[in-house]
Amino acid sequence: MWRNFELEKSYDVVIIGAGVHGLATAYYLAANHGISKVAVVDKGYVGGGGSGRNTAILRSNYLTPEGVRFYDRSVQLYRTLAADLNFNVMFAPRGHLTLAHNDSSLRTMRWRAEVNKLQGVDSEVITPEEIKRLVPFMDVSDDTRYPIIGALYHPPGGIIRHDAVNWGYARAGDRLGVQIHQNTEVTGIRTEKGRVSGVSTNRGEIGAPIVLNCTAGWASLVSAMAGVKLPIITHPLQAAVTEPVKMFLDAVVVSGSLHVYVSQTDRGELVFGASTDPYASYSMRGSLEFTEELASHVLELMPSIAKMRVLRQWAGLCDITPDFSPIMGITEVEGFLVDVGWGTYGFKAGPAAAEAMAELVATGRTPQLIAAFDLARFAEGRLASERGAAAVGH
Amino acid sequence: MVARSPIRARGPVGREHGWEVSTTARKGGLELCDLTPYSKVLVRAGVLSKAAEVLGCALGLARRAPDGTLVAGTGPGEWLLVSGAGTWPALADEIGGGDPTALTTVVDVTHGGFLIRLSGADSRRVLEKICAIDLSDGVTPDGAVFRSSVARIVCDVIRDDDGGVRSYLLHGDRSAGQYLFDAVLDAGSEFSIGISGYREKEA
Amino acid sequence: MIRIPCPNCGPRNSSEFSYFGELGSRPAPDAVDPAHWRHYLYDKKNPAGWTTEKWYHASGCRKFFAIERNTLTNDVKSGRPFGVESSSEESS
Ligand SMILES: Cc1cc2nc3c(=O)[nH]c(=O)nc-3n(C[C@H](O)[C@H](O)[C@H](O)COP(=O)(O)OP(=O)(O)OC[C@H]3O[C@@H](n4cnc5c(N)ncnc54)[C@H](O)[C@@H]3O)c2cc1C
Ligand SMILES: [Zn+2]
Repeated sequence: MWRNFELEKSYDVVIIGAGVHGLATAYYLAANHGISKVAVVDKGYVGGGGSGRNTAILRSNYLTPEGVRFYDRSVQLYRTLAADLNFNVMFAPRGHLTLAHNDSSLRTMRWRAEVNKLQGVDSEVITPEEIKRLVPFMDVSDDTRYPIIGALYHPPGGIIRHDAVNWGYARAGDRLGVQIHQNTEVTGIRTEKGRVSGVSTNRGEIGAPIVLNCTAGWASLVSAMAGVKLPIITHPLQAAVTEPVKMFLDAVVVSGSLHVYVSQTDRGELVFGASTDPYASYSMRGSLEFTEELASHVLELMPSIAKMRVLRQWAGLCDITPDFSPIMGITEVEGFLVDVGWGTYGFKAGPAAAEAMAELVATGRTPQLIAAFDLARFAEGRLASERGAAAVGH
Repeated sequence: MVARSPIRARGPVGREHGWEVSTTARKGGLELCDLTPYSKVLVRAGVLSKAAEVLGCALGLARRAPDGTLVAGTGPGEWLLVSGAGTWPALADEIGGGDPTALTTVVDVTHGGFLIRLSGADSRRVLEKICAIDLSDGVTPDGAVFRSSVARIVCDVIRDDDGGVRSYLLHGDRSAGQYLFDAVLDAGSEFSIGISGYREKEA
Repeated sequence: MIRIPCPNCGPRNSSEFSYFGELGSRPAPDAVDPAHWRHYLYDKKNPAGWTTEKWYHASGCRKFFAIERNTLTNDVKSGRPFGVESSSEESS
């Protein structure tokens, strides 16, 4: 898929983190801008972070116009990604449903639907009867504890094969001359007179005029090496899959009130997720209370799956920002860039974020698409709040 | 005017001290009983205050005052006094006076909460299913008090054995009363739990 | 389930508590400019390892307190009520 190399003394760009963001940025640097003297270094393996642990939901029905435009660009790139990378990434736009169990969430959904439509994104509020038609197994009756009173329906949303995306970008980048260095941990970031000059790793020193931090859950630690503070808290997020069964669930179903979402993979497994663990941690141990809570909530929605067995559960780290929007762009250290703050929703953003970050590296100018997501917004009080659209549904 | 517990009275119904209560006969064995009409008084005062001295009960412990009032140390600087329906605990009057600078509050919370009694040899096993606290005699003997999550409801739990029979009083917010009562019944069904009617203060 | 040592109630399941995050000292609101205030609000150390943080025992004593917790392992050390200083607490 990709080759192994000795570390060179210097590169034009060093990218820290071989998740979808780091790998895709390297690919677009080479493919769109002809910059291929690029190293992607990771302390572990390709896709070992959130990019290989997520529940692979793609959608663009966010709440702020900036968010909707940005995520929609990503969904567009995902649509043609298999052809662009010559690698089957198995994108299945099966439709995405966010359920409302109370008036306030229904209100936020109407608001989201209007913002979405204005940005040309297909999104509408539908009734319990229409939900039942899309998901016949769902209990939309009035006698549940939290009856379903409507849903935000987003037909272009769906799921993808996350490993294939990571591998596809890695392979395509490798073909264009990008070097991927696994088991290469960055232990320090060197700066001279407020400018980045390279990184120290467990395999030696690397010089580079541009260093990009794409380390998601570990972003605070890596940025601190360059003396850059981030408004990020790392929370674990857990997920689980069941044994495979015959296909019965087409759409992706999310319930914010019940803190749960579910989709069925092409292999027939049900994939479940929830909200993040309630306290900050870098530990990726799963917990029993997660599975218990998950099961009780899923069965509220679909009582008929009570006999299905959970095969495995796992956790990944999420870099949560105060406004549930990412942080992309320059920092106070010249040449040290960040593409972080991806929280629980960054997989779907990989292509668009990477395309924009590659353009920023190549041209030195921040593309309009990501201008609202700069680091300076926190000090300047310009938050881009996506809490209403991203706190549970990833 | 009639006062009602948040827990629906089952079986034949009567009136006691203005409250509608169940008059179902006492069942014996493992039983659950709604005692919401009992007087419940919440006291808040400094841990080192005169009031604390009069109450004479540290956090996590309960005792009976001479008039039969149950005094329970439910939180830091927080006590719950439980006495018979229609009564007012004598202690509640004693603690107010004296030091006018002391911040002491005495609030009648009788109608704001539920109070149920779970008793019987198996009561520990029932409670263990819905509460994570160690209920062994070494950790929570007769007279032990704690506040914790019981079936996900925040409750004051008082181990208050009844003539040598293991027994727990559960006190919490009124709105959760029916739910908690049903949750305890559900947990106790495998041990043949039964409902007993209201009874006047034992003491 | 990790257990949190409440200084009033002893060790309890973490589900009984609300997590309030890293302990930092709040600047006097009228003595700082907005940028500094926002720095206090948003920027976090987010350390990997031992840290001092604030928890609230919602299902128990209903008190705030501080504990030391290792964010890599979730090991916890003694809880202490607010206002009681610990040697490892940094001022920031
Ligand atoms: C359970 C779960 C479900 C999710 N579901 C969804 C979803 O449905 N949809 C969605 O869009 N998003 C989802 N997400 C979020 C998404 O997975 C992440 O936002 C995204 O994968 C982040 O990608 P990344 O490339 O920025 O970082 P990551 O993929 O996390 O990669 C960061 C890499 O940095 C490396 N690294 C860290 N420190 C160093 C160092 N010092 N030196 C070298 N390398 C280092 C790590 O080893 C890691 O490989 C989910 C996340 C989880 C955990
Ligand atoms: Zn406590």
